[in-house]
Amino acid sequence: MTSARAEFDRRVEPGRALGADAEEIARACHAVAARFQAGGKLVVFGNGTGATDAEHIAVEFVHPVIVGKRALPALSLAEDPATLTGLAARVGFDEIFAHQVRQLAAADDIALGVSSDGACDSVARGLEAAHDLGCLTVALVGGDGGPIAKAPFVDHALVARSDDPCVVKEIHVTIYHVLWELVHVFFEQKAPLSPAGGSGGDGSRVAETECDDEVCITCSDQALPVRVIEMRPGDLALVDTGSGTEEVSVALVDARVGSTILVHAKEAIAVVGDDQ
Amino acid sequence: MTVEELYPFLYAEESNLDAVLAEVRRSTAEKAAEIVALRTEFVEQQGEALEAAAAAMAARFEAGGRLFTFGNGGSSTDATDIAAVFLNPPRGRPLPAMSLTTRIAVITALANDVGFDVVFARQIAAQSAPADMALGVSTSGGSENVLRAFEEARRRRLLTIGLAGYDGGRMAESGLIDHLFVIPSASVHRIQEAQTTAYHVLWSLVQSALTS
Repeated sequence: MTSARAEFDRRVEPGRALGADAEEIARACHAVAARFQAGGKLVVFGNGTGATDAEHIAVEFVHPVIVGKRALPALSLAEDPATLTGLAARVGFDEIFAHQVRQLAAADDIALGVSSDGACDSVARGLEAAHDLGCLTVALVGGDGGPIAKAPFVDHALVARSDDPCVVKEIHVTIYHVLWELVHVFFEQKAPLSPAGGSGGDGSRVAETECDDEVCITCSDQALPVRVIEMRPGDLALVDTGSGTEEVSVALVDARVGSTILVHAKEAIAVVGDDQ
Repeated sequence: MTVEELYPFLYAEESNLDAVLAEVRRSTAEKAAEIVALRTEFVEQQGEALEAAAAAMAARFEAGGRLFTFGNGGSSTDATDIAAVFLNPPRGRPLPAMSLTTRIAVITALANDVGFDVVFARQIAAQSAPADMALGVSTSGGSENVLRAFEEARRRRLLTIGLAGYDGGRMAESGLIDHLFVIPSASVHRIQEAQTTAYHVLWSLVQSALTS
């Protein structure tokens, strides 16, 4: 039987190679952050193990593991069996993502395709459809990057340096964890977020956020501790954000006037203190 | 840890893009080195235990056993990936495995009618036989629905395998898990990355045991 040690040893070189690709990763993250800042959403897709990555990436952005990070819009195109089997049967397997991209994505969005060998036709077609719409296109691939890494419709190709699909996936998990973290670093740093990369970017879009995300707790989960100043019918409460008031849901917590609560996407998720 | 603590340079003053890019390059390279070191630490501590778990799983598969996998959030995608790599492997012999996390009708029915804590345990009760295996993934080791599934699996004499992080949490304390692997890290992200390697290697060792 193969030893566990030998299996782990095989991972060391591809793992180290990721560090050498930090420049490409940083530039891709900056471009992704710019798209989010401009109001774009992330659509993610992949086959097989890549489908599980797509789901993982979507939950990473929508519900971050680190409390206090804002929720960002992300959608996996690989987790609805009715749509996937329906499209595969009616249009053909290669169109399962491209069709969804054309219906569910918009010009401001980011398309992220995951393909272990860079040769999945359905992922390539999805990225091409996204590029045609004006989306920023990012590919997570492995091996030599395959046709996808070289395709003219891919703005950023991030390559895990291994031919083993299992090792490629492991490197991809680190890449997308870093992607999520760096997007938030760029936000918090307020580094220049001009829409970079993506042929569809016209370079002049401005952020369309309706509120300053340092303050508005309804469009993010900055987890500012806010204080309940009035209980309202329907499990709602008026809270003091420190710079104004907002109405939030307290259906999930045992809050009362004077409670300090943490709010995620307009929903109180925890009581962190009580004045009374 | 706050972002300020992780990236002190970034908060010293308003930086230009080049400086920020230089800093994120540095932090990315550091994370790459961190996960390489964590994998090595893990295999040194628990490599032999991983081989023992693979041998036990191979024996169950030979006896007609099936593998059930479960977890929440990112770990639910790991559960799905584990089932997929056993069922539809990139090489070697396909083996019967299914993820309990993708059964949306069953999960929403159970969560709505009974509660979220039973969404995996009830499926184990309905689907499993004593020859089967239950593999649960949790970064904290403390997910109630994962622990309930292990309880049910133990009651039904399934082989139980767990992947956890930190110090193993309640999964380590429960005594319900025959083969428990704890990734020695406090970072959810690094734990998940090392867990991905751990289950891939487990799969590879099972394949190897079945052909030897």
